[in-house]
Amino acid sequence: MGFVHEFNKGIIKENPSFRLVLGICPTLAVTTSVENAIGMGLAATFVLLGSNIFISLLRNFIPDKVRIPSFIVIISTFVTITDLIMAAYAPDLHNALGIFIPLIVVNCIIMGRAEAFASKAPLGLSIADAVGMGTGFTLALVLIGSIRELFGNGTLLGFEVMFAGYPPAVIMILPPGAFLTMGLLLGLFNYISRRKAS
Amino acid sequence: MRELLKLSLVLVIICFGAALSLAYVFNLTKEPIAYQQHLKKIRAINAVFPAHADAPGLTMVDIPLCEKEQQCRQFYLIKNNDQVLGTAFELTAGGYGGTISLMVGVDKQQDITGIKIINHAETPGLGANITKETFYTQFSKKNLADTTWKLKKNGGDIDQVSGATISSTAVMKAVYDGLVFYRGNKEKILSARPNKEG
Repeated sequence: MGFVHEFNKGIIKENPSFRLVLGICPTLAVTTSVENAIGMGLAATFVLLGSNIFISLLRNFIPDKVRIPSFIVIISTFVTITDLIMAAYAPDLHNALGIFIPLIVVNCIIMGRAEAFASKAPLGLSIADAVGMGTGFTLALVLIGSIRELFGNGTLLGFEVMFAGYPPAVIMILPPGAFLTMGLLLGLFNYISRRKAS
Repeated sequence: MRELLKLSLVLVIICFGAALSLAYVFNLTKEPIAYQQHLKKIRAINAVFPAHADAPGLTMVDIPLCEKEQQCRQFYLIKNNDQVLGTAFELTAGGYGGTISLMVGVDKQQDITGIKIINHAETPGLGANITKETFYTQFSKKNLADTTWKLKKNGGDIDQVSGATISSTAVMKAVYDGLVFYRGNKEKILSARPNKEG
């Protein structure tokens, strides 16, 4: 149960998007391009880190019976602070991520990690858990975003990468494309983990 | 009873801490955020009215005009000393994915000097292409008298973004309505007194 273990588990073994299947709403909604995916991933990681730190520090102070409302207050406070600071000092980034920042409040990965991990673990391990889960979430979003942007728009991070005259499959950028990509990737992850197990 | 009191007290303390830190961050970021929003507005005006960007000594007059209650439009009169160069104004349009807000500039002859999409939530790869130069630059030099305000496929003068009839129509209609409103209130706008330097 070391730091490395807590960090590593979020990347593949307990990947929040593909293994825990948490936070699927933002995952499907914002992965229309790699740029959005990176922005959402980093913002969520930042909030996850902040909420894990505070909840881990306060874990002996918060009684079990009121833990959920306490977590919600801490998480939403942190999201609002992130939102305000970004609007004031990083307006371009804030413009690009505009709607995704408030969306982080309803991202159940943050709540899930607070409940399942940070409320029971010491500070150091909670930080490792947050960074690992955040990285796993970001990588998952980038993977989905790359597939959708590549086939749906013929670009990656805005650069043309498909051969000239590639007709973009617009459905990949629309909501059905999100479900298609997510379904295939979930299947792939299940297949790999089952083969590893047997 | 004692437990109830304890639980309430913990929640009160957490909410109090959250409120304190939010109030602190809000105060800290209030001015930078207002300044960033001001900059954003100036940049949009510069984009639709190039003469304003080239001559920073110009006066800008803010004129709110209300059609009905709570339906105000903000006009920015651009003046060089006493000579009126033109007007910029903000418009909103109901797009496919939500509200599109844009800035339009017109010169003395009521020809459009340029339009710029400020915010939108259109589909990436489709409606979002209204922010591409090929779409929005076509509005320059257009006016009420010599332009047929319909999409080309309906026999008009406006090129639509392919696959995004709703977004294109929304922008076109908003610009048209804006021009009509401007024409109807021209006297009031042009005779407005400066209220602040911009």
